[in-house]
Amino acid sequence: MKKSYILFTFILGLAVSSCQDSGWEDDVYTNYTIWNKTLLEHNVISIQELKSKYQGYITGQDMFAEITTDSMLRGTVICTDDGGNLTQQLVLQDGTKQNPGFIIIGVNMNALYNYIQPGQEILFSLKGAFIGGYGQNGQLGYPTKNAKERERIGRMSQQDFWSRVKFLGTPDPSRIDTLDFDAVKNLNKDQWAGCIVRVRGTITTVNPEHMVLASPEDADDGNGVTNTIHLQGGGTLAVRTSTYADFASYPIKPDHVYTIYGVLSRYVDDWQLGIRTMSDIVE
Amino acid sequence: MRKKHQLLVLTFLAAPLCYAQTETDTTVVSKLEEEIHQESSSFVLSESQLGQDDDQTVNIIQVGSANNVYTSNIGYQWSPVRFKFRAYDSRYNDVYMNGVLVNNIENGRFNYSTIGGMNDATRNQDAASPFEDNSFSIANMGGSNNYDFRASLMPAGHKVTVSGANRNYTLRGIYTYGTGLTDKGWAFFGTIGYRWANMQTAAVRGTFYNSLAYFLSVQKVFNDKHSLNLATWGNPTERAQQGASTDEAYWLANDRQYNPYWGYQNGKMRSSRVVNNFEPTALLTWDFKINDKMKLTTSLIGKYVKYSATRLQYNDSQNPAPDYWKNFPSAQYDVWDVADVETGDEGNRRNWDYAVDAWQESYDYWTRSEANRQIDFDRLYAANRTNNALGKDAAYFITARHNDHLNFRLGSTFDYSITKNLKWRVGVQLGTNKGMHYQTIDDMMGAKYLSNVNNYAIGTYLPGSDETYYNLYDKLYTSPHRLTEGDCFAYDYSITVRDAKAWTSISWDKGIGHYFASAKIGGTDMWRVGYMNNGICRNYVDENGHEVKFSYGKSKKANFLDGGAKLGATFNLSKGHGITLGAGFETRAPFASTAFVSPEMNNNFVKNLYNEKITTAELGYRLNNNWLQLNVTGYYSRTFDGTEWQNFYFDDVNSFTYVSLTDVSKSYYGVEVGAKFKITSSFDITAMGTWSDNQYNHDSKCVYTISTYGTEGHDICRNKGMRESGTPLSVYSLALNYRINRWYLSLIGNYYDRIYLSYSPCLRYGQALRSLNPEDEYGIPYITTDPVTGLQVTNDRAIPEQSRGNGGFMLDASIGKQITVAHHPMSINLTLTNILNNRSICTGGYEQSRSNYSTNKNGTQGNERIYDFQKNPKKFYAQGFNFMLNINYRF
Repeated sequence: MKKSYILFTFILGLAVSSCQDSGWEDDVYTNYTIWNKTLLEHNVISIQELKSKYQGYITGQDMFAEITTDSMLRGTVICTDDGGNLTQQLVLQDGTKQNPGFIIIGVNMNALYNYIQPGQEILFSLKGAFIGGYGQNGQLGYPTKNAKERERIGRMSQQDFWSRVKFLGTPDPSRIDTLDFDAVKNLNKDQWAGCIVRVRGTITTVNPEHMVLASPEDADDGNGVTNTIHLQGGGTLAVRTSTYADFASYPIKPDHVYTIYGVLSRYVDDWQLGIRTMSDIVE
Repeated sequence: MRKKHQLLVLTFLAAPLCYAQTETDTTVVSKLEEEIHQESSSFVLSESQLGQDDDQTVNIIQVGSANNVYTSNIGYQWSPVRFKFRAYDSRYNDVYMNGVLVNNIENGRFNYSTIGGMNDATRNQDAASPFEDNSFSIANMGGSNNYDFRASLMPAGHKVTVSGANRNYTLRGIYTYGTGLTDKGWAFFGTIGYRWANMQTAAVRGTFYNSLAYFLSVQKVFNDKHSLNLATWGNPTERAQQGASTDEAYWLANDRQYNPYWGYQNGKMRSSRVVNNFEPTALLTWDFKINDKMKLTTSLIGKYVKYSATRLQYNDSQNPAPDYWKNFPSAQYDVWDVADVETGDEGNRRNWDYAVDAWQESYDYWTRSEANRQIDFDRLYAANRTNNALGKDAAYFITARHNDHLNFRLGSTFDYSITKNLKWRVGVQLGTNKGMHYQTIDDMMGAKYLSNVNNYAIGTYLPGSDETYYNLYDKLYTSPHRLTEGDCFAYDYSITVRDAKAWTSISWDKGIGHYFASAKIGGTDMWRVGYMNNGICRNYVDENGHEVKFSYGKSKKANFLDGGAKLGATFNLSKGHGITLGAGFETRAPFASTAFVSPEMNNNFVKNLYNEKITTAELGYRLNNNWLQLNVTGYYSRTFDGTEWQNFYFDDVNSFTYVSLTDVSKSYYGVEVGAKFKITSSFDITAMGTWSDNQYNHDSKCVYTISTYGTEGHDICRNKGMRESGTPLSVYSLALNYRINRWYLSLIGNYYDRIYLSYSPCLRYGQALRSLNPEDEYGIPYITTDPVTGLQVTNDRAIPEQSRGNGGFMLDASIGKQITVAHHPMSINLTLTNILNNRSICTGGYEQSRSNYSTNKNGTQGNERIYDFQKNPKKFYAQGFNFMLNINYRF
């Protein structure tokens, strides 16, 4: 009988002592970085210099080029894909308030904002990346053919992106300048496309029967809806919203004057506003 | 009276004592053989639940009728590929314990893993094939088993078992002790076992196994009429699951057991899918021998099931699965449609040099290190830290899906031997089950905030709107970001089912025939109670001013009356020849697990919910002589008005979807052959084979709910001709068995073929086919115009064929020996499975439920993707060479 007790105790002891899915601490992984710690700052050029060098590729139809020089950008992320309107893109800004540069980076990864916040300063290694134009907005990415076999600049893989990025310090949203649209609307689109602006005006929807920002029924081939802001100071500005944006069903009140923030991009020769999150719309 | 008592005690005593002391070489070896068989089949049976929540239906039927060479061997020989008897779902197999039915009332299935690790307690069982009359039931379409847990029937003495294996667990230890029936009328039997593997030792990387099993049974024989037995058991188990993946992933990982469910966290392996299961059970049995001809057996069973399965969730963020389709090289370059210089086929015109480079980059990433093809937990924590800084909800967290049950059942059987050749049995089964289904936050993964909000609905509805709340009362009474670990998330409801069944069976012998006739009748009712007022399906007040409990509160009650009858006969012809035949018809109430359209959201029952009708027939021939035991059986079964249900994440619409199929009709038919040739007294050859088929007889009606809208869609599912999945439909095997000097040797070759994967209904919705208009192999689209009438007609050849997996040959062997150590028997057996290391045999899997086109938010077809989902079903493969060494010692 004694043997039975020993065996019983042995087996029970084994069982009780060996819970295997436990002990996962929350705060011990803070040394982890998704970005590349090994990057060293060197040969930093400005976004304007980069865009100037490849201007023909940015404004040309379906053109792109591989960047062969070993250089880097140093700038601040001013917009991510938070809100779901800008998909798999972020906007980088450098330079000064008076003479800034802006460029889009396309990354084949959903929810970039989980890893990179607006106001984060980064280094971006350029060698081997591709540059081209996305609606004549400068974009860093990787060549792609869309379903219509159109060759253009697309998104780089997430592995490629993070291997090119190094964070500098912590995010500081105060680095992001917000400009009045009136102040930039007549400036050079090649330079200013990508800046954050503020506008005031009423909104008319593309389909008066659907008084929301982006009704799926009104979507074009790009799953977006382009409405019109009637600016208080006169004139209009297109505001484009994806049907996948978190705020796609935001109700639009007729004749109500909104203050709207967003990323100003170019659509060939016109300006276009992209709302980032629902908090960009102030009633 | 006292004398009678002593005689009875002596009778009970005889069995275990004989078992322990009067063994001949022959009985020793046959017992050893039986032990090997049971060890092997029970091993797989207890493992069979490993993938039960993975969109594949791994369910096992154990049919062990000893009178049939085929049914008595399939559990052991074909279990490595999860063979399902006649491809039936396990809800067509009834399991009893001391005469009380123990299948889960809610889904109809018995979970064999709940008796894993207590093999010594489950050896006494009475198995009945579909047309075998028996003492405890009317056998179900897939047969019935009755485990006998009476302590007095368990072997007396001590037994220690130690096992080692390179399978899902590595080590196992079992200690068993039984007293037999003492002269005071008491019997005690107990067994305790432990099975273990960690992530370093388990055969499948990223899994572990941690299971304690106990079983205690005590019996008091009061006199020659009355006996009471109380048995209790349970096996608290913690185990990590293996996930199916695509052939591309297996190729990239160079491992057919690649498991996408685990990853590294701070350098340590962690599984995202951990199952915790504990079902403490108590069974009280009263045996009442009324007289020599009448016997009443009554059992009451009660159990509380605690089951939870974790899952890594993502919230408004990137799918963290390492084998998410966008991560594959073939999402960059269409490997299925490459240019061919010889034929002039230019292939997919999106394939260009940059796509080749992207493919290579992705390939290099997958193959560079193991960590790259597993979950990167550190990265997910990093995302949550970012969201903490922004005051946003967790991007990633782990939930536990709970399926708890409180179950009681009473089973009583009256057995009357009217004459020597005429027996009558009548029984009742009463049951009630409350299934509690809810999801909790298991690990916030470093996140500070999480709201009980349906993020998939955001976009369709504004953030903060009523529709986005999983429970509207959260919005009314609590602040945002309120959830912490242990809190309920997304759904919380219970389903109560009650059933009452009565059955009777009469059997008689006349001339060369043995006949039986049986019938049953039963009633079932069921209802749901919701504990969350789901924002999309919230309660409302109708035009008459009455509150409609759409999601919160008690649903209406559904009632069903079912019944059936079965007839069978066996004719013993001369010279060992015999013929068996049987036929039956029954109606079965739908199971609660399929009766609700979207139970996680609302109270709605499926429309067109009827009793399933089942007809089944069987004809068998047997021959039994000195050198040959042969069984040949043909069967045909047909079901009508069935209901099936499944839920899955439907990427096309970025939403969970719940799909109910009704008006399901299937046919099952096939032939089974088992032959045992006795070559010498110590050598025999067993040959077995089956060819079977089963198909949906016609298309089914379907109702689906998309969780981001809450509305029901109705359609036709073009599933005519689809087959049951996860089991080979053709199997052929040959076994050589040799027994000498307490040695047992066997060599078994099995060939498995025609293995289908679980089809995806949503790829075959009528509307989806019309919208995508796929082409058949000749390039003719699904929608064509009849040249004569000019009307639009459908081309059924363009409906996607059901995906299949590879079969193949598997060689297995067993060797066993019994020796004596310190005057006590010790047996050693070694089971070698898949000796030729054939890793290409598919054991199951499922088609991915999404199309090759993106879907626009307005429901129209978007762009074609490079990645081809139809060519990338998710599969499981049989393990390569594996073994189990088993040593047991009785004293």
